[in-house]
Amino acid sequence: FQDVTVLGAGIVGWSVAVQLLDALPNCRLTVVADQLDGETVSWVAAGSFRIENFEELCPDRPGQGRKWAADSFQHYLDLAVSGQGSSAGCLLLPLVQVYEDSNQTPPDYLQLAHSVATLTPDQLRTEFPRWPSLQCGWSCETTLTESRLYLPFLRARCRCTNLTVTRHRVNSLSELLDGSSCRLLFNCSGLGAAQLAKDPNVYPIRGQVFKVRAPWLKRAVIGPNGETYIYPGATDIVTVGGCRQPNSWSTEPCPDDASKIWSRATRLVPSVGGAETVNQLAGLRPARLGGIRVELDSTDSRIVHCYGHGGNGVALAWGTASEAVKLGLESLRRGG
Amino acid sequence: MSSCWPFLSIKNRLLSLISNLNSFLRSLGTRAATVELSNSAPSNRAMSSPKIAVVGAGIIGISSALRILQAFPGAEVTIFAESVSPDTTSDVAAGFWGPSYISNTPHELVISWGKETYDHLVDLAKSDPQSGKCGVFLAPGFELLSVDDPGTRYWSHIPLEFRRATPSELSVFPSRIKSGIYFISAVAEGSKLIPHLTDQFKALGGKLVENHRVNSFSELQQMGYKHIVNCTGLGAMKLCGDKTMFPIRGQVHRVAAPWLKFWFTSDDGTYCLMNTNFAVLGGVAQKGDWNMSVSETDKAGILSRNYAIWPSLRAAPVLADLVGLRPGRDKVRLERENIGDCTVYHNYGHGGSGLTLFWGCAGDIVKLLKADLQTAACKL
Repeated sequence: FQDVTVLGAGIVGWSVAVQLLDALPNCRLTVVADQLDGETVSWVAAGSFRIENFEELCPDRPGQGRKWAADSFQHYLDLAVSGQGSSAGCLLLPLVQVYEDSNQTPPDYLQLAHSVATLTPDQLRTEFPRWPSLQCGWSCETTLTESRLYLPFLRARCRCTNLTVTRHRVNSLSELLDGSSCRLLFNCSGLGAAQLAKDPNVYPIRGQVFKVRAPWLKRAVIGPNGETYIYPGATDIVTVGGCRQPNSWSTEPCPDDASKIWSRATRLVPSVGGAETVNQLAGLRPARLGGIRVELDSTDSRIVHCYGHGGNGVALAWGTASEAVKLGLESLRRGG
Repeated sequence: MSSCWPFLSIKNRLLSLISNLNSFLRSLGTRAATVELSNSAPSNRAMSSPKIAVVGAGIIGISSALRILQAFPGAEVTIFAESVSPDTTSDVAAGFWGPSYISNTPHELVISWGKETYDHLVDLAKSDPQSGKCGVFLAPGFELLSVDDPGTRYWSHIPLEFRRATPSELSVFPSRIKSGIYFISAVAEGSKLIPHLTDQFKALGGKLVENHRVNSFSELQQMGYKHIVNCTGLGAMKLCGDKTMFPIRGQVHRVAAPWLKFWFTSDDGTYCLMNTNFAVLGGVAQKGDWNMSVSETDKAGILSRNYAIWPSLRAAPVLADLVGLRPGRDKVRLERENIGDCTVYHNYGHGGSGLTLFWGCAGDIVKLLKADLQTAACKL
């Protein structure tokens, strides 16, 4: 038996857990986290695959960002099209993104998405009568993965006899390694990596959303600068957002942010105004200067880091976890 | 008509004043007190406050009645209906914009009515915060075909973003699907929209008489109606003896599939169309079949055809099984006819396209009425 630990139970942690157990079905896996399920930022996110720039995900390694994106998209697409899509909370989502800048180049996710089409100025005027300054836009079909359903789905895919989930706040990685039989530790701690990996590049980007009941909305709409968004989900709940506040640590919804978000959203999609609000949530995107860190720790080859996904956690969880698991297995084989 | 004007301009202004006064009094909730000119003939009273009967309360009847009241605020409009929502054919239909089962209705008419309806629905969806709750929204989706060339559609300039489906987007469907068309359809969900339009109609002073089957136009004539709008769908077979009509039987199954955000139809008659709270799976189109009970054979066929195209539908619980008889006819009948002392405005025979054409058809009924009411005013 190999003892393996995954630190973090958000979408990245669970994506690692599932792929690790596929590769090492006989290992004893412990998932340790201070936040579980609804407490994680993964649950706040709408969960769309909508990555603006692949290279910025991993500036040090050209092409790596695109690989993570392509692997993740294929995984979600296969799931969405299969019979399991509904129980996994994974769906094919029609989406339209619009801009005020007429020189806007198409965002990178359109290279992978299906059904890409350019919106004409006439179409923009007809479809967004209350936002006349829009200059260009694209429509497509991408994927959306709702963590509320997807995390339990991943958990169920892990072989239960080999899996323990422990709620515990860890103060250092050595806590989990010293005096233990742990052969491999995946650090999927998101914002926690600031302290746990002593990484000064990790910082929060606060976001706030409404979760509303609007089952008549069948298409996602993203406004200029990606600031305003409306995402239909896997059920009748629609995520309406948002904001991006770097270095803000508050996880409480702010009324001032709420009214600004609502005003922009109803201008973009007026029928949101008729929706009943279920709740408001705020979450801290676990961002990192220099991009997502997926690598073996330089001093302890038992540790594989996989954190810093910012607002692309759901979008990239599968591809980054896939590389992290590969690095971990290689380390094990080398006799780490 | 132009020769009348110099002589009647003062009379017309007085008539218009009377009409405004009457609608003001009506809005106060008092009994409509008709102010008469000393030498008025009965037809003067009718013109100042036209009394119009609408027969039928499906989407055609309700929308006609509403547009009539919007155009003639002083009119007294009463709908007589045997059934009301949610028991009309319009409630069974998924309510998707897309011309179907209208046989030989001239394309220019389908385009004219269809465009007016589509544009109206888009306008509501894009600017009215309550539109979603009233069953009006826009939905992207695919017409899937088992042949290599989807061909053209004579109405393709009407819906938003109409284009051929690309190979990548077809790749998620079974390999027997060779080509497709994508466009944004407009949904008018009958069971939500009809009550909303009815509320608007009543707020303008309209009356709805339920459980009232009209057996002949002379019945209404005896009640004092000189203008009758016939929106009876298949009921026109009995009401005006229209033997050219025939039912086109449809069966649908409502399933809970909230994860499915796009619709699809297939050239074998299969369809999966999203409504607000469920997806509507169909379909069959059995001409001449009057059977209103659910057929288990049809159900098995409809479900399996849909599952073959989108397997995740297998996980969708079936909420309801429904049958509706589309009012089939060689052409939509929209025209006026003098019957006895009345004028009847026919608006029936929309086949599978009631929710595609309703707003435009209602607009044409209003035009016919306008022409008649103004002509009558001139004749005095």
